[in-house]
Amino acid sequence: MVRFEDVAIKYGAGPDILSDVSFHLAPGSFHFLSGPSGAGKSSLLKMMYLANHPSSGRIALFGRDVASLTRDERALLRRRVGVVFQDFRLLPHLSVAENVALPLRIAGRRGDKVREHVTELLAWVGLAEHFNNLPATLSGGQQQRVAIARAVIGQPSLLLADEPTGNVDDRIAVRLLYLFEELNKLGTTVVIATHSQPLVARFNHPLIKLGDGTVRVEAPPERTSRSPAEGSVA
Amino acid sequence: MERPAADVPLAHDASERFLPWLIAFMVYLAGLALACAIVVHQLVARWDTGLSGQLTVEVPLTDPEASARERQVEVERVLAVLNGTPGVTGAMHYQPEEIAELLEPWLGSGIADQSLPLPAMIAVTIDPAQPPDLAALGQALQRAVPGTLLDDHQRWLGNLLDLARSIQLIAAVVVVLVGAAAVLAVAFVARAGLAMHGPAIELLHLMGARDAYIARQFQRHALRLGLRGGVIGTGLALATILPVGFLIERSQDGMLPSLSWSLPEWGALALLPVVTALVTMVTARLTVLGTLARMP
Repeated sequence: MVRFEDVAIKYGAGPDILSDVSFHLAPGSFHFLSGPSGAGKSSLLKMMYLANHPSSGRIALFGRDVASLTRDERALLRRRVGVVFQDFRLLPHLSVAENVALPLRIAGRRGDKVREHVTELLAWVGLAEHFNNLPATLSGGQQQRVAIARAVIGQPSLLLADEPTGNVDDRIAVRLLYLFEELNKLGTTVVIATHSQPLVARFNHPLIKLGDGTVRVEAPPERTSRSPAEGSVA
Repeated sequence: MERPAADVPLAHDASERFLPWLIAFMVYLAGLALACAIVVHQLVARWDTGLSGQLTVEVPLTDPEASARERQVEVERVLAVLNGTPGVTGAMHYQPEEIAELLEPWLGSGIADQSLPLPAMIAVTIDPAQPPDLAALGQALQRAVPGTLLDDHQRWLGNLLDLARSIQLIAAVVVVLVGAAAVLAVAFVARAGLAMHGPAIELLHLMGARDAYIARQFQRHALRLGLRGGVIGTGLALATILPVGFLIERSQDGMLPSLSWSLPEWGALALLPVVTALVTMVTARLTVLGTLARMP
């Protein structure tokens, strides 16, 4: 699903932010991504959703070397990746419903089915009554849920979320995690970057741990069974 | 949801307000240049058909002392040569009063009485399908009355055609320059739009939008603005051309071109907004695709 081989990233002429990163995420796996601020969580996710190029090494997504893709091929690959951005990135001039429907529109899907799907999903994240509102009228937590609805509407094969529970209270955070788990049970590979130790402890999933400029994949904290992730390199 | 807003909110940009007017002024200039070229073209065509099949023979006054009778004999000799030449369908001798009338605008009235040494003028019509051999005819006329000139108007018409062609060339250059300026302006606006809406465009890309999807947003916007500018500019051009045409009609002067255009002429002008909108759209599309392709 996602394979990193000896990947390093740096910005401009600066030092490597991450180096020697090698891991493989199996299809249908669920990982937390954790590490101190500035350790490179966002950089790692950006490489996974093809927003950043590694400065060295090789990344394969869905079995394809991303460096060899044309612009259009990369666009098609991205449609299979749902992203919850840390800063939501809702389009301020579009209604909540239009924001959520955006991935489907980009994929060329329109009509009543889309509307139905959006309605359903907004009800699921508890924002049904905000269908026609602009994002600016919503609270941070509500905007985050719109962003999550938008990330999952295209039924992505890979869901990447950058601190998706950062702006919501614990009760909603747990509910969102259950939502991600449900998607995972339907076959979506999930990677969630989070600071929240309680969440990591509560939802027993393997951990991609960032620190000292590199990455380790650890088994779930309270279990000894082998994680779906293989071959971690320190 | 049924008719969703554009993903890239270009309609709120400053370009929405200034670009149509910029395009309108350019289309206005192009419209005037086009009208000018059409009028010149019509004028040339009119002179050309008016003069083809027409010759003028000028019999000089060789002897100022010659009597009217002797003059008449010379003219008869020339007329006999003309009428005996195959291809000549008619020859009409202008009477002195008629020549005086033709010259009146330049020389004033009453010249017929002043016994000016006016040459005799003969208007000759020929069969354009089977024209006579002009060189042979010229020589024959020379033999009949030495000094007789045969004028087929080609030199005069040639000069006029040169003038007309250079006016048309200038008009074409104006249209091309105005078009190039409009293309540059639209390309600049598209590039500014890409920069201004960078975050939204990046988001669309990250959600799997192809470059063509982004370009469609810009070209739709450009088509709308181009059409608006084209319609305003053509309207302004018409508002200029029609009153001028009215003034010309009122002056009833045969020297001036008429604005009695037929369908193709009006069609050329009506196409102006359509062509403008298409050029604007294609420019925006190519600019956006070109700029995006250079991004990482």
